[in-house]
Amino acid sequence: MIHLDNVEKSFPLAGGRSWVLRNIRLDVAPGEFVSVMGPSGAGKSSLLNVLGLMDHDWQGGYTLDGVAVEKLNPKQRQALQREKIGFIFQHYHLIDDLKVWENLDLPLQYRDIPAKERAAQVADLLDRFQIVGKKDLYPNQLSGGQQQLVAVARAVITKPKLLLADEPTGALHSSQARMIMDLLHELHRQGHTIIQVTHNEDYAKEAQRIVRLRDGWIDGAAAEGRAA
Amino acid sequence: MTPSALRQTLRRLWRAPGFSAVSILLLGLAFGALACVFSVVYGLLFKPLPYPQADRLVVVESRILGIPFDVGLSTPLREEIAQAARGLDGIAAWREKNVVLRDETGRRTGSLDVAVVEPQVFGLLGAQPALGRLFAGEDVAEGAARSVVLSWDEWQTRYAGAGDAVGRTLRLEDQDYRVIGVLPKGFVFPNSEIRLWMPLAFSAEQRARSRTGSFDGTLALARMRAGSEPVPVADELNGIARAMPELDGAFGDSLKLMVKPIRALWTGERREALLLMLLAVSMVWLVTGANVVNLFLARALGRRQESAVTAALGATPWQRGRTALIEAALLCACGVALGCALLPAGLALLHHYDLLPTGTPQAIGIDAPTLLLLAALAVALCIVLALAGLAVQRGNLNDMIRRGGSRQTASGAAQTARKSLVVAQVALTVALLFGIGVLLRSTQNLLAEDVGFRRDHLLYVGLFDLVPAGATPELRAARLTELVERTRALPGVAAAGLGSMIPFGHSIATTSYTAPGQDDAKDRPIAYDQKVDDGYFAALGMPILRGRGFSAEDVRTGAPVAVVDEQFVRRHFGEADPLGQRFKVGTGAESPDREVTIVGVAPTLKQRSLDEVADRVAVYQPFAAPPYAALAVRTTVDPAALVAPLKALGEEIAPKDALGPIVTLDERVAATLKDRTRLNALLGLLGATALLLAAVGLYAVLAYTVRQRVPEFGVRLALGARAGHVLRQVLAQGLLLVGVGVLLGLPLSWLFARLLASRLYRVGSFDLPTLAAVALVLGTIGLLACLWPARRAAATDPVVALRQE
Repeated sequence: MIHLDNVEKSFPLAGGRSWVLRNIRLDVAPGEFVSVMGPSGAGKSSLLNVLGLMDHDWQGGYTLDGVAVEKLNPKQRQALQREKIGFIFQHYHLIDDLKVWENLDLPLQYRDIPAKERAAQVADLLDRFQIVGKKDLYPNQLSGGQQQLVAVARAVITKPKLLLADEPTGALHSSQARMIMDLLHELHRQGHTIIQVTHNEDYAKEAQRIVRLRDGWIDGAAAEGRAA
Repeated sequence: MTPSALRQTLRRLWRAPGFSAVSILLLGLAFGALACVFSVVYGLLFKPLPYPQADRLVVVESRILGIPFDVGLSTPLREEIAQAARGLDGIAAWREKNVVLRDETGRRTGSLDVAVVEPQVFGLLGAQPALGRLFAGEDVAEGAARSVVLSWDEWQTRYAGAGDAVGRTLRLEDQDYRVIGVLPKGFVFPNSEIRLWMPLAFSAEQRARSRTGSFDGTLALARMRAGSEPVPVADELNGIARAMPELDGAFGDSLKLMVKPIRALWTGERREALLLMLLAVSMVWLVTGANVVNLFLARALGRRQESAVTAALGATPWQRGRTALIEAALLCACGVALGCALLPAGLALLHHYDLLPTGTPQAIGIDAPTLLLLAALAVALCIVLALAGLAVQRGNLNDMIRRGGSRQTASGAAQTARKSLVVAQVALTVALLFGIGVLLRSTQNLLAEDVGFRRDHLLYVGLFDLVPAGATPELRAARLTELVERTRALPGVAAAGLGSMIPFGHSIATTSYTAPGQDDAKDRPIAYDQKVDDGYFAALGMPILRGRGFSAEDVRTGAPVAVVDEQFVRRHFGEADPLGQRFKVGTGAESPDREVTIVGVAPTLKQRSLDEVADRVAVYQPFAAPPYAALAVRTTVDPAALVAPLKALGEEIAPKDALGPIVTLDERVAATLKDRTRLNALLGLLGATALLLAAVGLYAVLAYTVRQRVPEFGVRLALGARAGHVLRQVLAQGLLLVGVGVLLGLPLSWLFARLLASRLYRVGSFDLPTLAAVALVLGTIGLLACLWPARRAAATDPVVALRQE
């Protein structure tokens, strides 16, 4: 699904460069669930931005589902992102002025899907995530866990192959975090490839593999796996 | 307010130079404009005048035959009023006069405006001499020595304030005038440009009843009895006039006397324009106020985190709000100070556009009422600003500290307030622009009117000074004839002709006539009395529609023939042929009745103004040297090129005298719209200011909103939105505000246009093309104002945006 070949990212600084990512080589198989861990400033979010095609300022090779990303122009990268990737953020990032169902509808709108079809998909998802009763509420009328639930639903509504989750449980208390992790496992079972960035060692271990980052490098013995 | 709080607030403003400078500049301009127009309105319309019991002083004006200015009172009428009017304590005549100044060789060196007044004028005004005496009956008696009264300044300038100035002799117009007195310092009548007063006397002939209908521009000043009011007094005076058979027979209902407060001398026709200007600057002030409140809100929103932190550190709500209050007070104070500093420039602008006359007896500028108004408005604005600042600081402190200025979901009310302010700005701007639009269209419609002659390539040459006062008719005729003949010979001249009433001038002459076939009619109709030479019709480019114009022979012999206008034909002949028909024309001793034969029909002209309705017929008669003649010159080249040759010609023909003004007819037509075009220009200036302010307000709100929504745009882009989606979203948000503003501006526009109704010409109060144009202008400007924030939003980098959380 993902093949990173010697990906590097840096900023120019007076007297040298500040390295964010160094010599990243990483393969993620289709349907794999991977956790990325590391201390603050290790480059976790930067890696996620590169994987999510939100950051184009890097060197090296990146193949996503058979497509060589580095050869694409910005427009093609955006098209690829829209087709393959769904995002889950730590702070949910629901649009405050939109109701729950409108938040879910938004990615479909951006993909120019006809209204009728969108309505059916939204209804289906509301049902799947059991949030039909909340569809007309605004985000600030929901608890943190409920908001993240909606955010996950929004991330999968376009049926992306790859789900990128940036500390999806970071802003939640334990029971809500558990619920979200269960949801990620469910999505994983359904065939989504998932990469999550987390600080929580226990949740990280629930993935099939942990990739540890330190100062922009992937730790040598980073492939800690568990049975799927 | 503690000194440290003041110092800290000053430092804050100093460290935000953009915000401070823009706010103070906007407030300064708005306060300055308002103060300027208000001070003129107050000064001209309400400020006490420096005359005792000035509220009883009035001018008596007369309007005849629809002529749109005061033609004065005839001497017999004024004397009749003096005797019979019970509502008046006294009435006296005066007029301004231009005295020609000459050097030792007799050559004209310039001129001086003097006031010629009946002795009672000073009494009515309550004036006392500072030195010597003022005019008395003896100074206007037949054979009295010529005398003059000086202003204080003239006394100081000419005689260095010497005590023996009284009795000295002053030479004017080749005559010696004896100085008999000096008026006190500060005395002004009719304006401060007047430094010399001469006595006004009337001969027995001028006072004869036969001259009752001779209105020669001599003005009348009166003092009402205590308790009298202008309207009943005017009714009484009109009753007196109607009771004089000489007037009733000649003018009937078309003579109307009006009694106006003495202020009318300086206010003139400006009252309506000034009140409109006051309304317009008030609207601009509101737009500016809304803008500043908007900027202030944006600033307060940006400081919510700081405010929350100070609250967490123990600041009371008053301590937190104090900064906003001091900031608001400082900004308003600086704005008022800048406004006052700009006042002289503003007054100069109003003077340039003739909304502020020179030489008024009351000083116009910064005065107590103007300062009070500014103070009241500044306090009101200050309170609004402070309340806005305080309102923004309310909310969940924890949320404010955590989210700070990056996302303000808790400040929905403030955002709604900011958007409402922009909508209000747009609505006011729409009304202002619509008002300006319909005024401009009215002016265009007026300029497109058919005036009945060709106004291009046509010069008007004034001839009042071509012969000196008291010259013989023969000298006058000789000079006029020579001037016309030599003008016709000038290169670039297609035709030249003399006329007593060239259109769009100030000279109006009328005559009564007997309608054809009604020889014994008692009520003779009135016609414009056009005395012209044989070149006049060609010079004006007036086609002769039927028959012929005048021949040189007609003019030389003063043949009993006439050309009448279409209106005359319509009124008296209908479809019948008027040529060869005869009728009698003439009024009084100066122009005795004579029978004339109609030889031609000319078009009906616009005589006085572009919006006049043809209510009077015109009768043209041939004259070699018409009275009050002016010269019309049709050119084949740019008329401006002929000004110098014509002046040179005048110098040759009358070396010691001069031609009057030489102007194009286009200029004379435009001059009749002067009042409109000046108001249009000033309102245009205010409209452009309002438009700019509304655009700035819209830009500020959108720019702020975009900054605030950067994370949201990041999320949208991460969810698959294209840059175009975000761009369109922000543009739509801005244009929605403009759209709502335009909609709310519609009723305001209608109201504003209703106020302008008397100035509209062939344009409705809800003119759709103008409305469409205003909406287009605002839409375009709004789009431009939205474009930059929208582009910035579209260029959001999702990585950076999401990192802000």
